[in-house]
Amino acid sequence: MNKKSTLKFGVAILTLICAFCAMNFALAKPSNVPLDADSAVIRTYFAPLGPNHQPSKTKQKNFQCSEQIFKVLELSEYPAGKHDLAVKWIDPSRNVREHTQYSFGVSDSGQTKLWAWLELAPAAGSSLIAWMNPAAGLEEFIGTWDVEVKINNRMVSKRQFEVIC
Amino acid sequence: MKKSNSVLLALVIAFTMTACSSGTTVSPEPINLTGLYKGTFTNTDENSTGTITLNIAESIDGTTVSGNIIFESDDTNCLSNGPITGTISGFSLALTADQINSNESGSTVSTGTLSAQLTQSNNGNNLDGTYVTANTVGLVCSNQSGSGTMNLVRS
Repeated sequence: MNKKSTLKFGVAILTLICAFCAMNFALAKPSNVPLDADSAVIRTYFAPLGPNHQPSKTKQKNFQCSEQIFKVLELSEYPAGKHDLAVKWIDPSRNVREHTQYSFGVSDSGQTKLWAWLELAPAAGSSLIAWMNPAAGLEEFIGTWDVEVKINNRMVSKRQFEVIC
Repeated sequence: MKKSNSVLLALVIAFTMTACSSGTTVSPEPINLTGLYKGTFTNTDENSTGTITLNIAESIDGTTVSGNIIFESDDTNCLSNGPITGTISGFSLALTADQINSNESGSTVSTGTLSAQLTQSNNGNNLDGTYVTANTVGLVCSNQSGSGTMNLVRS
């Protein structure tokens, strides 16, 4: 290999290295770029009541009529700032029973934990016959419920849980 | 006979009421946190206790709070009148307090940060949760080191 060929080979290698570095630089996500809701990680689950009025860390899908039913959202890599949460609780007859809505803040960490909860109360007079039938006055709640969660008007979760009295 | 008739009547009324009325559901929303809260803390590391006064104002957009926190420990009072900032995420409130404690001559004798994770309940009248301190320098006393619980009631 003469000097000219060696030089050409060196230039070619250098060009390849530069191209590789440029590609890596272009693909790398700079740390100061604001987080995007599209790339956020959203984990949702149902849980019963835990300590300190918070939802338990134990997931649960079947609930007794007397239990508080928590829908929990764990957000990470979420854009900092103000966001709007909307949770629709749809009963077994496909009626929207509750609509929980509130604004929440996310700090620069991009992480937060949110929840909404539902409590069922029996029909009037049912306490008198509850000794015969614990599900008295709660029949309409027994079955599969749907819960739809939207953040900033965008659907992020649609899951089901069961009420078993 | 009269007694059994009364029981039967009560059952009929109960069945009728149950059949004619429907159950109800509740799904409350978080309440504005602006207010003065008073309560107690327990430092689980040293099993010491004291009182807390938390004075906070919620921002207009409902996502942050600012204010101050006052600890009055049953032992040495290390952390007092600390300015706080916090982020509201629904029913939970994450607070951070920068604590600088000075002696009578004005010299700084202790510094540190306190992070608390509180949850609102009872229509926003209660704030309960845990706290942990970090980067403490200076005096080591009950509420300057370690972690514990807080229970506050809106006053």
